[in-house]
Amino acid sequence: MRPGAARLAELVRHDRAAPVGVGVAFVLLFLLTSALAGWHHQRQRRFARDWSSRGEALLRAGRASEAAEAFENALVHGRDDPGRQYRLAAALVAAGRDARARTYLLALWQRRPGDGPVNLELARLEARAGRLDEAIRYYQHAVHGSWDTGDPLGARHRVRLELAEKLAEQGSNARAEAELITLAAERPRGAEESVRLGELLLRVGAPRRARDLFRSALAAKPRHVAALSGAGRAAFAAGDYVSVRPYLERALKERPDAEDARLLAVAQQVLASDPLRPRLSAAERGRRAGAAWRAALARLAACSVAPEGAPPPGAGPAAAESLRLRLEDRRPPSGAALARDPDLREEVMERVFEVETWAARKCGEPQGVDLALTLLARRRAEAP
Amino acid sequence: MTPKDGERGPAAGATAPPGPWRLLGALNEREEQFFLVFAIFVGVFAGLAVVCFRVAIDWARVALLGSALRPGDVRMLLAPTLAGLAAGTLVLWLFPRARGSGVNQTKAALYVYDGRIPFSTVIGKFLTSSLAVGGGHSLGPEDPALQIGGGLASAAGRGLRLSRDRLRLVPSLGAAAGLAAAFNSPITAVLFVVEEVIGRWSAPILGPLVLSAVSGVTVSHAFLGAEPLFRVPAVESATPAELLAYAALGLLGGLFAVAFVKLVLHARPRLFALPPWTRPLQAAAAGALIGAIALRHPEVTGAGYEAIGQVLNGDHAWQLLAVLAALKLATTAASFSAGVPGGLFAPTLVMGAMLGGAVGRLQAALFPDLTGPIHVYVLVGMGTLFAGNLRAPMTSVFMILEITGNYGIVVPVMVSNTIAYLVSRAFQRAPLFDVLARQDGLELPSLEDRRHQTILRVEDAMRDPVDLLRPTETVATALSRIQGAPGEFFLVREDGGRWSGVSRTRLQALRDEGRGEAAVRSVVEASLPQLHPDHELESALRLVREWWPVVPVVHRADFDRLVGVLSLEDVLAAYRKGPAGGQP
Repeated sequence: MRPGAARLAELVRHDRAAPVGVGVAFVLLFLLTSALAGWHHQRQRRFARDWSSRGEALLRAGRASEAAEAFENALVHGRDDPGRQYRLAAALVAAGRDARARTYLLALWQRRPGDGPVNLELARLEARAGRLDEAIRYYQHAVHGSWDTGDPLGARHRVRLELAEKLAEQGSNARAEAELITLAAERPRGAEESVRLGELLLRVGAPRRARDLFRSALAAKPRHVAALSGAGRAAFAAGDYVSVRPYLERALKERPDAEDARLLAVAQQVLASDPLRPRLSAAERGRRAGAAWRAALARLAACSVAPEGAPPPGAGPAAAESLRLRLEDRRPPSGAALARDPDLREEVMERVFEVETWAARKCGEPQGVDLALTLLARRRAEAP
Repeated sequence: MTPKDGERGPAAGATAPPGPWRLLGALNEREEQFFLVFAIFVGVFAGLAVVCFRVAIDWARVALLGSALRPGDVRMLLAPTLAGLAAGTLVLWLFPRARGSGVNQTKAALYVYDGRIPFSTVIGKFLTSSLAVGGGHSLGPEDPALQIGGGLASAAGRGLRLSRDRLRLVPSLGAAAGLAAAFNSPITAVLFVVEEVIGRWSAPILGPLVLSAVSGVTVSHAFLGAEPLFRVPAVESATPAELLAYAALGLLGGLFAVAFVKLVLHARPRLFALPPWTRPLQAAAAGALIGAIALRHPEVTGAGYEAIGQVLNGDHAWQLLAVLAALKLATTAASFSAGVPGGLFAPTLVMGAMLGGAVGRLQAALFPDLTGPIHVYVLVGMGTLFAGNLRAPMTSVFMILEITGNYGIVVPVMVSNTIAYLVSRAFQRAPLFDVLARQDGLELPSLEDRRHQTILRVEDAMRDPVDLLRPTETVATALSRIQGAPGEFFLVREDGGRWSGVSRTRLQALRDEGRGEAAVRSVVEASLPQLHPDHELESALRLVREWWPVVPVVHRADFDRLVGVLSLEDVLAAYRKGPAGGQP
């Protein structure tokens, strides 16, 4: 038997019909395949579009499970569409099928690690599962990722805000504050957003920055209750008890709130108890210092007999005895002496603050004048 | 091999063919090059056909089951039943050769029918498989695509009037291209065709096979896109502790495969023995069973790639996955045993995916800290069942590597596949396709048989070195030295590692003629070929059988060093004796 190539050469020379027949069959098959594939793609696109539209409608109607099924059907006819895969994941998230949504999102993430919405959904899933470190990583990817929406800056801004919230939840106050400062500087804000940022800053322990934001909200909407309340609380947290009153009084006038009322009362007590407040007469200073002295003695006595339990460091019996000796090593100062001698006032208040700080640590947050003195002690300790 | 001179190219003086024919004529210069080009042509041809086949399956699916993943109940019950009835009727009356998967039929074309696959079989396979797979029968498109590709290649080869030797190989080219286009994986296709269709490793065919498979995939990608059949999440390497779980998966997969194979091999001949007119009804009954199960678990219908995608990306409980694996086994066995045209490739992967997922989920429930991502178990399970069911171990490993594109999975795959393969082999000696062929009255060669054959080598047959003659000594001296030595033919070690020989009779004749002082070098009879101890005895047989009474066996690193001699008698004695502890 001759080899095939020799046969072919023979065919080429003498029997052109066979290769021509094979060639014609090939061309016909090619044309048929082209036509069929074109028709197939068109039909697949139509099915995918129809199922996708149905999924969107179901998702809007709150029927998330059915929407997920519709998106799955859409993906059968167009597997490689990241948009539909994302919508399926979103529907699964809405349906509470987090594990499945996570797998889809991770698959999408592998293909588009810089995709903002995918990172955001993953971040939310991780946060929901309690994996805050992972969540924060995805949030950061989302902040710096690409957003195909009409307002990418707005989207990034919202993600950063969500990130700040998660950081605050996690207790990473410094990182949260950094994100919030960036947010505050990033774009013009409405009153609502300023209030939200302010509340977050207050939560992470940045009351002065928070107060600035509440004030800017009040500049836009002077009767914004949350802004008034926030400004008052921020002033309280910052130790600016003078500013607390106008804000919280206005807030309470607009909307009664127990916590605001309590803070206002405490602030007023602080202002009424502070012997070092400016523009007081010497007699009033002496009177206030004397009252503080007596209150501290009483607090010391009450707290010394309190059950010991497991006192915090520096709050045990030895510390109490030392404080008692320091208070009693001098005769009780008279109101006149305290009014006359600023150094004595200073010394007395120093000891009062020591007692109140010790008692707060041992016996818990006090009430009334003791609370006011404790807050004054803290303000002094935090003062630069 | 090169053609003989008389067959090489257009004869001198013949009129050169005009225009484009000159190009074809030029191809004749090298037959092997022509065959490579032909392989590409076949690959494209088969790829085009498989694109049409995949479109036809999809069309049938949407027409019969609708465009949703979960069809309505009535459709779900009726579609597989009617598809089975129609496909069974077509097979019974019009296309009897379209029955079954198509792998054995293609293999039979290679070994029994000189590479001929009737074109009517291609048409029949195309129609009946599209209908069955699209209609929801638990069978896959890969094996039929393999046969369709092989059939088209055979038709093209016959159209071009290739020689019988070439024509025998041609269906394997089309088979590789068809499978590659259907499964989107050229390496898997080539290995599967080598392991299951050709049944032996043959270097000369590998090049054309690869070209053909790559051409098929390229065409498929060009027309249908390069999307994977299912989405595979990123694969992470398994921890050493997890290997125990993968070993358990291998054990379970092996037993599962044995159950499947035994069920098919038990049911198929019994159903086939029933009156022929019942065959369409058998197919319809299998369809009805699938439809009934699919009302609750639609994952069992069709090839099942969507189901694999769902398991890979899903959160199914292990109990559900175990049930799905068992149901897929039952439905696939039902469809296949009833003679419905369609393949076992995809259903095997689905069964494996479910089983792997079940093991992974169970492991996660029992040892949450020791369990990696579940989808890795799913992927390993796919390879495991492939190794157990189809007994194609190389394909099973490389398929998973090709699907994932990540070598991190190779260790768990190899652990699990090897165990599944060994378990399957322990309980079911002959592979599924081999037994199916025997049920159909064919005895086809199997790579597994070859894999377990003991090869006889030259070292098993050679004798100790004999007396050597020096090329510089005289004929008389040589004769006196070999006077008492046994044997008739003596080796002469020449310079540069060359060997020759001369017979005692010739030396005596030369002495009698008065040429006793002539140097042996000048009177040697032949320059001898050389063998090495590791040469296969089969190839050595050709040398000793034809011309040389004794052939030197020399060291591979020192051609002057004679380690033995081999004669025809030695070879035959070795074959009669056989390898230690076995038959040759």
